[in-house]
Amino acid sequence: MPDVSKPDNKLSLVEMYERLRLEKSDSRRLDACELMERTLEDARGHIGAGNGTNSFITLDEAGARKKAEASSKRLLEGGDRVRVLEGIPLAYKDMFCTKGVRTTAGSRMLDNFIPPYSAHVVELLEEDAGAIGIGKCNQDEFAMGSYSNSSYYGAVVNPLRNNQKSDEQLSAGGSSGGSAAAVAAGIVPAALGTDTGGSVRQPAAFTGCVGVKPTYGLCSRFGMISYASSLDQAGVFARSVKDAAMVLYEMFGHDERDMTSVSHIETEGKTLDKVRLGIITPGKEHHEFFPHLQSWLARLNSRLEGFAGLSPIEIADSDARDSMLLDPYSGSLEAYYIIAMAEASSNLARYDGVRYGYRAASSAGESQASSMSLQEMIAFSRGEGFGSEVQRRIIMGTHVLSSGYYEDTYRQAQRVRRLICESYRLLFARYKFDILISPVSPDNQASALSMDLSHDPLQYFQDFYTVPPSLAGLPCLSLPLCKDDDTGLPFAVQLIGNYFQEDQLFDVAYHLERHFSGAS
Amino acid sequence: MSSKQILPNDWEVVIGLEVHAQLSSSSKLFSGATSKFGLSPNEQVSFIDSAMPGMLPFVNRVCVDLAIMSAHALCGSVSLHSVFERKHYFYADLPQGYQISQLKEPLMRGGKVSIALEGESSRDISIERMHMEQDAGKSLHGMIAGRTCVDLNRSGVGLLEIVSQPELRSSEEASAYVSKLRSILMSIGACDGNMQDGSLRVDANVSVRRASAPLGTRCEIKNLNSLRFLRQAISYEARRQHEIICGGGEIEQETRLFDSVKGITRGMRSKEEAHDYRYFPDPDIPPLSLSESYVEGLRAKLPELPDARISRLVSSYALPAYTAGLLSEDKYLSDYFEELASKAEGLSSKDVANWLLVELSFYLRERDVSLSALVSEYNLGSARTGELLSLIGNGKISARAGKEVLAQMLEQPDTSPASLVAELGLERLGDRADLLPILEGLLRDNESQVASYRSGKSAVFGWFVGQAMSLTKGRADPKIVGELLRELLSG
Repeated sequence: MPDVSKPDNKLSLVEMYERLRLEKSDSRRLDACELMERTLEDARGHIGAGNGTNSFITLDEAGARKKAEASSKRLLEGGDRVRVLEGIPLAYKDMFCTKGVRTTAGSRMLDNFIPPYSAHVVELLEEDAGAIGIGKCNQDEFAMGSYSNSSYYGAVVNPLRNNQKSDEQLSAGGSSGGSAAAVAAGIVPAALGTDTGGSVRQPAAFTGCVGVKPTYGLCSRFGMISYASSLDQAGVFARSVKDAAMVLYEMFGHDERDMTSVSHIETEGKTLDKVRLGIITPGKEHHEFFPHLQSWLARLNSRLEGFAGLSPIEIADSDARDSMLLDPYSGSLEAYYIIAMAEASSNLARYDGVRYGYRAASSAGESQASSMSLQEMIAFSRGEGFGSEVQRRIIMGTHVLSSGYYEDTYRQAQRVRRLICESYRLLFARYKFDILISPVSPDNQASALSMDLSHDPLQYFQDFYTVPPSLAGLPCLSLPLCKDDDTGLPFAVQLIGNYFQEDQLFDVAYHLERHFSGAS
Repeated sequence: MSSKQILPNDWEVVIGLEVHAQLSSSSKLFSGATSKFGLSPNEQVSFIDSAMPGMLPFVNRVCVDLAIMSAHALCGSVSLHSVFERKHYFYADLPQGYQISQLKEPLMRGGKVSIALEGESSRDISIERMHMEQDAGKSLHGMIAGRTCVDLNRSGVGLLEIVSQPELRSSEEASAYVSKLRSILMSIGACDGNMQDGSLRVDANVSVRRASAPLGTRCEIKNLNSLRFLRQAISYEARRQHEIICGGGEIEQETRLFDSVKGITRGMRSKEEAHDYRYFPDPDIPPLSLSESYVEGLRAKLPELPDARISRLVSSYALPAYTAGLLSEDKYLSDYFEELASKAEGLSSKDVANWLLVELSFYLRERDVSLSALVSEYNLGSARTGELLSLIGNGKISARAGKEVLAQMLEQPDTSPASLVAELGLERLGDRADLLPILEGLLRDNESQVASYRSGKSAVFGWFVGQAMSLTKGRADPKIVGELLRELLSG
């Protein structure tokens, strides 16, 4: 039964879908224009530091209204012209280029950048599926960060609070924190994020959303601003597994403009009772870094008891972890940061102030600009346009690619990456696991926003659990199972599937979601 | 001047060349934008070429095909697995901040180009490798005072970089190598070969050594865009290095630029200032994977290559190898030659070749146009030009008169050679009866010369022949003129 007491824009995507299509006479019928007005009104309270969650950088009110009018018309007329996501408001992380709408990547560098094109996934969602982008979500600058606090537009605030410290603002996680917060705050039913090493899964866990990152290559990266090309994937935030699936299934598809994009390979999923679940946690040598791990395991095991008659196997303690099998956590964080920073240093080389974006004026003002040499102009533009975390990663990436360091860093990291792929392959092929379960993040819940980790390399540990499947390009889903009894904050797990097993991943997640909603 | 002569006999210059040839595909290597030359600035720039945020490269299959065919034509071995890498440096006309190139795993390894200098037998020059890469844009200085403008039309155009082994030993050999390479690439349509437009550019690595000593330290001279500059730069550089060494100095490894006005090379940056390009495999482009059958399938599409053409021209037309080589430098030229040779009656193939390489070439240089442009603009197709050559071959006009007719053919493109001959009155004067009155008049008007001939100054005879030919505007048969003059003067 649909919940009629909720404001329209707080509905689930599935409910919106149904109610947008009701007969005109039906009192529960949603009109796309009214839904849009409610959504925009809500979103306006979340732009800029100090306003709500600060989850938006830019709103495209006029564009969204115009599209809503067209959708409303189509829905009234009915028939074939009504598309799957007709009239559904969505929000996009500001890494996705949107034609005619400012796209900043959370950076001063692109503060004035209005792309004349849209990302492929945006085209698919809007032109083919009829969804409506209302605006661009706040994020860590160029997707580099785990707390959405490195944005030029201020930090994102988590709409959730810790019951025990209700006056403390929490981080929404990162880097796609704005998208996560917009969904968690009920502004939009779903939003797009990008996930390079956990940037969808971790903020989803922090805000209690479902966050899915598909198999690398499934969604075209065309028009999605690059951070680390070999790892970047578009992902979806939603408030339920079904909602997330509905959006993701409209974003698939081979795109010849992205040579790393692939066609979806149809796979045969198993029925739920045949699925083999494995709980994968790091080897003992890592345990000291993760004080919450044992309690997480105990809690997960007690909660999973009786789930569809399945008894998950703890891979860490089973025979499965034989000598042949490399621990996918071993060296993965180091390999990830070397590869991601190397690629970032290269991908961000195009921001030089020459053709678009931020250009430094000389100290004497624009009229004296010609007194700067080209190299000075580029250096000052990048120095002023990029924030400190971006600069740090560019410098480290430049270092690992430099002659004399490449062999010992970048080359080694690629070797580790291949070994990690192989260890997952064995887990799926030889040990016949279908879905692997792990924590999403070491802290396992949202941390305080005031905590300044920006100069602490330990912030990179935040990606410990999400990075290994990213290196392998596997599809993953972050699922909130229940609320913590004490803090009231979400308790989430990461599900990892085999390549192209998105169907299986959604199926297991859906049943877990039902199991837990029934239990709580 | 030969670089062989520049250095003393016991010294030699060692040259290796890197040739950059622009692929003449209609679109760029990694974008759908067109790749023409000479458009207004920034007329053919896609979002990919200007490196807009979120844009990704995709490999243009046409460029890959042309590169594979070039590899076949250069007798190289095509790697079924090759990798695009990023080469980083910051410059205003390099939008991505890196150039996509191939380093560790190029498309082709090995290969050779056969060169022949005039009067020498041919020699194979080994090619080390060939890879694909993208061109940069252009920085335009001085278009707006005090500012540098950037034109990205060329940004992303596909290039082949072809690296020779250091086997060239003189500036003439280097020039012959580039010229042959150019004709090979042009014959398969991989490159238009226009050096003046920058479609083909050469970097020369030059060092000198005492014969059979280990290789000396080399200097790289960048961006030579004509064969003449290439020869001049190598000669200058060899002399410069030789002087330094003889003066007790050492050569510093560096990159140099050729100043074509002064004819000298100048240091640009030393080895210490060299960039660290931070190459790494481009994560946006999967390794280029080719099947054996695909690669071999393209071999079948190769047209007749210059070497095969040279042998055929030598055997079928009895041309000297050097002349056949000159004709085969340009496919259009050698096609045109073969058509003319079949149409020109009574003229040897060698004469036809000389007409092309000397008489027609004069107008090409004078008007600075290509042969095909000259032919189409002045209606010089093989039918009309063949008619002219037949008039000469059949003895209707003299070779000298032929040149005048050719000049008129350019002035009056719609008139046939035969009509022009009639109009200009250039028919050969073969009859003694026609010539006799003219020669008698000549002798009458120059009695003092007649007297001096008859007094024993036989050298004056040549003067009379020259005067006779000039009076007849070259129409007279010099042999008959000689006979008649001898009779008249002795009488």
